[in-house]
Amino acid sequence: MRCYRCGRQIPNNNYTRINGSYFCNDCASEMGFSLFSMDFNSLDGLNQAINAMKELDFANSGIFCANCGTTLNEFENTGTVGCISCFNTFSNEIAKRMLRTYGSDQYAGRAPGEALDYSYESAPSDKPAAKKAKKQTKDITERISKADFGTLSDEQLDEAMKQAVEKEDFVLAARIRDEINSRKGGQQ
Amino acid sequence: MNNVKWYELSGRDPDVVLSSKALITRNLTGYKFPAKMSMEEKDEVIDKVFEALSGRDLEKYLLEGISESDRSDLIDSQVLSERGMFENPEGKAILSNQDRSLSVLIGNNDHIKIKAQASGYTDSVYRAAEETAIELEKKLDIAYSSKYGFLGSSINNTGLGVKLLYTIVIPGIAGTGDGIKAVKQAVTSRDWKIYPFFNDKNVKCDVYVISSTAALGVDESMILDMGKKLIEEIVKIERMCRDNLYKNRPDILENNFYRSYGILYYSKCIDPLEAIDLMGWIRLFHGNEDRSEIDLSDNQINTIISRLLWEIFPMLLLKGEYRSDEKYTAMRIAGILKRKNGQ
Ligand SMILES: [Zn+2]
Ligand SMILES: [Zn+2]
Repeated sequence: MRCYRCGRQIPNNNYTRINGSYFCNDCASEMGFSLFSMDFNSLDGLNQAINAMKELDFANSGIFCANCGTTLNEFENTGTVGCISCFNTFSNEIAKRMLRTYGSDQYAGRAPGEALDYSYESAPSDKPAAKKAKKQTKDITERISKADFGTLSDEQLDEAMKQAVEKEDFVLAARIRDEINSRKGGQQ
Repeated sequence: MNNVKWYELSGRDPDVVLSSKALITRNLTGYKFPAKMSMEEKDEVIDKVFEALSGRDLEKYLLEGISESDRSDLIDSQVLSERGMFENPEGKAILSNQDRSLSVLIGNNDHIKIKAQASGYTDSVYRAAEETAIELEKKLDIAYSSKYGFLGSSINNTGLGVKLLYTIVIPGIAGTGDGIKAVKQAVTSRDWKIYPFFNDKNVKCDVYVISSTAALGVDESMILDMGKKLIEEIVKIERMCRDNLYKNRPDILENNFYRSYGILYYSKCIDPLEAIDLMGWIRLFHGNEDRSEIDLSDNQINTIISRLLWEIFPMLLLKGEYRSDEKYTAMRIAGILKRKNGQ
C-alpha cells in the first residue's frame, strides 16, 4: 500500500487512515495528525487544507512510472527506482542526479560479456615478513652477545652460528659451538 | 575435506590490509527491481540465476528457513553482513563456493550482487567477481544501456555497478596527530570514501574501510589503479607512523604489547571491546617483539580481529548488548593465539 501524500510504500500496514485515504505515519504526523490522539472523522474541516497542501508540496507526485508505480517524488527522495522503465520516465532527473553525483552522465566501462583488459598484480609478495626476518636475526646476535643461550632454539643457534662466522666473530662462534655440543650431549 | 575459509589464508601487506573485496551488481531485464517484485517473480529470478551458474561448484542457500549453522557460517565468512537480510529472508538466496571467497546474493536490493573477497591486498578479487559477472551477462538478459551502463535499483548501483572495498587497520595513523584527517582528505579527493568499520563511539577500533564510489565517466581499470595507489600510500604512511611511534615511545609500546598479549593469552573472560583495544597495541609493536618468546604472525592477529568484527560483535549486537559472552570471546582469542606455526 502507498501513502496518498508522498507515494512511498507504507511498511507493515503502518498507515494512518484519514477521510478514506491512507497515509504513512511520517506524513500523517507532518500534517498534524498524531496516531494516537486524534479522532480523524471529526476533522472534516481539515480536509480542504490537506488537499491544498498536497498540491502545493507535491507537484511532482503526478509523474510516475507506468510500469512499476514509482513516483518522481519517491525517486527524488531516495535515489532509488523500481524498474528499468523508470530510467526513461525520469530521464531528465536521473541525468541531473548522475551529473551531480559522478561529475558525468556517460558510461565508460566495459561492455557486457567482455573481460576487462587489465594487468593484474602477480602473486602476493610478503614484504613485511621479509623485513621481520631481518629484525629477528639481528635480535639473535644481540641476545647472543648477552650470553643468554638458554632461550634460543637449536635452529636459532644454527642461524646465529652462521652469522657469527660471516662476521668473523670466531670467539662468539666457538661459544655457540660449545652450547650446541653440550645440548647434543644432553640428549644422548 | 579441505574446509579452509578465505579469511584464514594470509595475503599481501597483512600488517595493514585485512581484506580486499569486489562487489558487482547486476539486474535482469523483464523484471522490476526486488522492492517491487512479487514473490513468484523473485522465485523465478532465483531459478534463473541458479540455472545460469549451475556449471559452477557453488552451494545454494535460500535465506528463508536457513539453518542456524549455515546462517552463522555465512556471517562469519563475511558473505552476509546486513542483519536486515534475515528479518526479510523471503525471496532471497545465496550461492557460495566452499571457502566463501566468492558468493552471489540474489533478490536483495538488486537482482544479483556478486562478492569476491580475499585476505590482504589484492586486485584479483575484481577479476574473480568479473568472471562470474561475465558468465551471467552471457547467459542472462542483463539490464544495460549504452548511456548509463548496467542499470540498478538506485543511482549508486547504476553505471559500472562495481565497488572495491579494502578493510585496513591503521592504529599508527590513528595514533598520530591529524593522521586520520589527512588520510580522509587524500581518499576523498580521489573520489573514494573512507569510513570506520565499526561506527560506534563506544568502540575504540582502528579498522577502516576505503571504498570506491565512481560509476560513470571512468572505466573499471581506473578504479583498480586508484585503489592500488591509495593502498600503497596508506600502507607506506601507516608503517611510517608505526615506526615513528616506536621510535618516540618504545617503552610504552613494548610494555603495552606484552601486557596486552598476556591478558589476551591468559584471560578466561574478556570484554570484546577491551579485546579490540588490546589488539591495537599488539599491532603497533608487532615485529619488534622477541620472537623466541612470542611466536605471533600477522595472520593470527588478523584472524582475531576478523573474528571480533565479524563473529563476536554481530552476535552481541543481535543480543542488543556488547557486554556478554566474555567467556566465549576469551576462549576464541586464546585459541587463535595458541595455534602453532602462526597459521
Ligand atoms: Zn507519506
Ligand atoms: Zn518503474
